[in-house]
Amino acid sequence: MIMTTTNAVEGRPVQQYLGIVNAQSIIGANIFKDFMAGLRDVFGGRSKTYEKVLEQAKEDALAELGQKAQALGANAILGVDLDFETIGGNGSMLMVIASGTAVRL
Amino acid sequence: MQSWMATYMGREATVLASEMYWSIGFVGQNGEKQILQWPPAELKVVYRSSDDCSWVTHEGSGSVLLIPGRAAHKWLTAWQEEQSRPWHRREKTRHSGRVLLGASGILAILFAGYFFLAPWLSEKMVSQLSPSTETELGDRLYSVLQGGLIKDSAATIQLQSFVDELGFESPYHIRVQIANDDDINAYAFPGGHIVVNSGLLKELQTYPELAALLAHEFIHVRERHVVKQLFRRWGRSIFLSLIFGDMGKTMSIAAEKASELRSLHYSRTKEAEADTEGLKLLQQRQIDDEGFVRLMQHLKKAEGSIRIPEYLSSHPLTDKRLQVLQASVVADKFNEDPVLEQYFQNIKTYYP
Repeated sequence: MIMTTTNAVEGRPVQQYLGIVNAQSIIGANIFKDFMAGLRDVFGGRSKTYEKVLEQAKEDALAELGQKAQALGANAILGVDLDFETIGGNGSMLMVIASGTAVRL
Repeated sequence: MQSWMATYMGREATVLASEMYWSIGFVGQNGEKQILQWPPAELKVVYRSSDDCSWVTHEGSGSVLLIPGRAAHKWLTAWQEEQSRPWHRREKTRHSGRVLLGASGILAILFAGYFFLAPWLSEKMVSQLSPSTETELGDRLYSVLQGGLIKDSAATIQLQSFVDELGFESPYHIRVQIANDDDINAYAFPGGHIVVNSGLLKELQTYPELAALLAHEFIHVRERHVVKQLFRRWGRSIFLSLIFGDMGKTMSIAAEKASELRSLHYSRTKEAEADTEGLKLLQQRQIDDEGFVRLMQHLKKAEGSIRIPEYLSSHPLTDKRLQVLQASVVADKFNEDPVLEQYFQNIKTYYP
């Protein structure tokens, strides 16, 4: 399946618009990852633990988006948009929302 | 998850590949949407350079999926190799093992920091505290508490005279206060304040018993037991705040409760020290050290039928204290002290 942030795919016109699809993934870093990230906050530099958590959340959201589009009979998702938010009492949970337009090219 | 465009039974299809299953979506002959789900364990893949395609065969149905390029071949081959390894050699297991090891290491460091490093550092700080600063701290703590005390000023003057006559040496000025409270209790503050409840004074029958009580509390002051315990608790609280911050409040509370038990063990040790050293003070002062034993017997009687397991109590069990004291008493080496006796009798007129 083609997933793209662009509104069109070169050389492949849209034959059918199948609807908007969206998916979200909410993931929490566990207490040990928080602790390691806290150390990074003190000493500076990149936090690989949180980067991995974010990457996982993004992959999960895109996977779900693809499944929803596939269920509609789409072979591509155009205009894919990713939003990132923190939720929960003290912002310890990460939410990724993916949305796009399911189409048949 | 990986996604590819593919050809299935001559039709364009979309492939979403995960470790759980491969999802193949296509539009059928009659225009109906279809989705197949194939477990990767049931797939075989061959790469053919002639058409630069990965040929994926589903063993169950015999169907073939054609995916342009090598990507699908690489993915499935790598997955199958991983699955063919014994479970303990798989990357997921190794990763879990590393995470578990790391988590255990962090837990061990936190445990050591909380139960050993923080209290040790706190006690080191106490050793840097001057008696005057400690006294100031104790005065402030006492001023917070004394608002809730119902004081007996007249009897207190007599008790202060008793304490002054005992003449225990220390860098702290010992100041006593009687509180009108039926609880059989007495306690000390950093820097020299000692509060004795009227309920306890009513139980005492002889001046050596009172001397024993005051000697016990005096040892708490002289050996800085209270300020050490306070600093240990503060040190642990600061450690918890640094580690957990606002998150994991439940864990902080759980750790704090465990800390209280640990502090109780600390105070049980110090209480036993106060008994032993207090007894020595009486002996040095040539006061009847049997007074200590009789004091314990009063406490034991006051406990009545309530039995708290030792690990929940801030004091060693009274029976144990009695045994230790009885083994250390040298009952016949004392002199009567008429001055102390007089002060004691004056106090007892208020608390017969």
